[in-house]
Amino acid sequence: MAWQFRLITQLTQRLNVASLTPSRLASLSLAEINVLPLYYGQQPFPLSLFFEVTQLSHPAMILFRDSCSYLDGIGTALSSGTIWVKGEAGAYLGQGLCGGEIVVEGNVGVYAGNGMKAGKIQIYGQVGDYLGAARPGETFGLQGGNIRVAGHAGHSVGERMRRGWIEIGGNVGNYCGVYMVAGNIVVGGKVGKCLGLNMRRGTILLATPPDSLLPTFNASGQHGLLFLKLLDLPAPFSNTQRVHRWTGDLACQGQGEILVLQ
Amino acid sequence: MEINGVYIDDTFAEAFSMQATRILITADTLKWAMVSAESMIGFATSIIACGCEAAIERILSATETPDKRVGVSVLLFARTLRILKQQLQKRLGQCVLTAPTTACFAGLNTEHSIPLGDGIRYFGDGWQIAKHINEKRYWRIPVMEGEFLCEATTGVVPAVGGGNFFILATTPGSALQAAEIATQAMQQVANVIMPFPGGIARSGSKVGSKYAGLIASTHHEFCPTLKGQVASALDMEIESVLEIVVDGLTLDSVRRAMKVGILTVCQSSKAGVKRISAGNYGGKLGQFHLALREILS
Repeated sequence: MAWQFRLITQLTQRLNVASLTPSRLASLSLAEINVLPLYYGQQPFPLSLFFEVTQLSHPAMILFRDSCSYLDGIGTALSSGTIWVKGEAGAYLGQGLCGGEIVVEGNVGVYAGNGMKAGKIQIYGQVGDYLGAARPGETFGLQGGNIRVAGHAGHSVGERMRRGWIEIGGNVGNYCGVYMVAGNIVVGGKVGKCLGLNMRRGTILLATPPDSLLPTFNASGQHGLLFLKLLDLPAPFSNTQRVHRWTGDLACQGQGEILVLQ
Repeated sequence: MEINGVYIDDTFAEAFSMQATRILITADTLKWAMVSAESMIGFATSIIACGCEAAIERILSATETPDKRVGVSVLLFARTLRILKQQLQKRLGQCVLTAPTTACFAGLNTEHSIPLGDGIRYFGDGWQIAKHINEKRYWRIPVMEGEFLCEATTGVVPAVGGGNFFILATTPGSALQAAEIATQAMQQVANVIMPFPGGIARSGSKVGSKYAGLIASTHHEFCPTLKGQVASALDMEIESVLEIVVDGLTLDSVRRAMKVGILTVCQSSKAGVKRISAGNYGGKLGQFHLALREILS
């Protein structure tokens, strides 16, 4: 069963919509959905105060229409089905995602894909800081699945990520891949400072050389790496195999790599 | 039963249950994929002494491989999963890892799997890198040439080994010619290999021997030079017998390959081929009995 949630209220505080996933709503009627409690700031309010809900014919799908950047936790712990956001999304998009797909047509806030283990997130706009990153106190960031961003991303992309795929079409901020344990980050635009700081393993693939690299990364030469042919890389990486390679961070385990398109 | 003047014995081939896997070997050029694969399947004609039976299944175009390079698919068969693991690891490590430009991928995606790159990754001495790509795990093992890319595991399936038939001919030349034509046709059948040299065995064996400790010896009933000395299965006009052994991922694929092989022999061989027979052990050892006439009907 599919539902459309059209935002009808001008939000001034953050609204937590983590409970709105296809599996959680599967057994509920329209009347039951309308009275679901949603936390608006610190207080719960009935869902109908914020959304006009209509049923759609698609299977296992949720559509957010006219959404804004105050909607937090969209697709939290989603395990199957699709969530489509026509508009912006707030913080913690796809937190703990373990299956299914989230598509956002606009911009997204901080900590998108936090704790994600599987599934897909496609963002057509920009995304805030800490994409696929760990929250303070958490051991790992992204642990699996794919995140693809068409626009720019903020700071600390993939912090402490240990598996999975982050692909950013635009620029990324500072501290990309910081404390990275494993996984892949692909950046089509420019990267900020402190790229790969304290990364232990993992791959950061860049279309353009970074302005600066940490002194704890060593040049490894130019290589034709066959595994790049297995990746479903976007332009300008398509058919890429030859790259400049730097290894590091030698202050840690030093088995990470920064690859720059040749 | 007679087909085109060739008599089909009322007998059956006795085949055994095996464990099998398929791996894909790719390289920059077909030459090096073949060199690696041929090295890997060397000394893998029979489980009697080689540990496993292996052969090239077919050549793969660049559109059929994960890394979009040309390659070959290789099938390996062994009696147990443990032996299959050992053989795969040894042959992968010594013949594929070592061959320039090659990479190795799983050719079966099944519920059960055995180590592929997982078994040889430690060659990287700690510098090996694991990569998860599209739900699959790969190992990048640093080697002097660059990197050896290998999928972590490959699927295994219960399979059938030891399907066979004999070509009985009046001259060695006509038997060999018929066997060559047959193996060529059988190579077009999917999921099977003919593990003996060129797909043909001239020394079919029986179980046991007069000598203690020898588990297999010459199949004396089908040796032309023993006519007159033993209870021979051969008429006086038969001068040569060649065997084609077939291993397949399924019983049906073994049947299909045997049918294609026998029909090809009957339809395209010259007057020299007189009979088609098959090897069995009285039906006591093998789990699968492949009756020739039933296959051809």
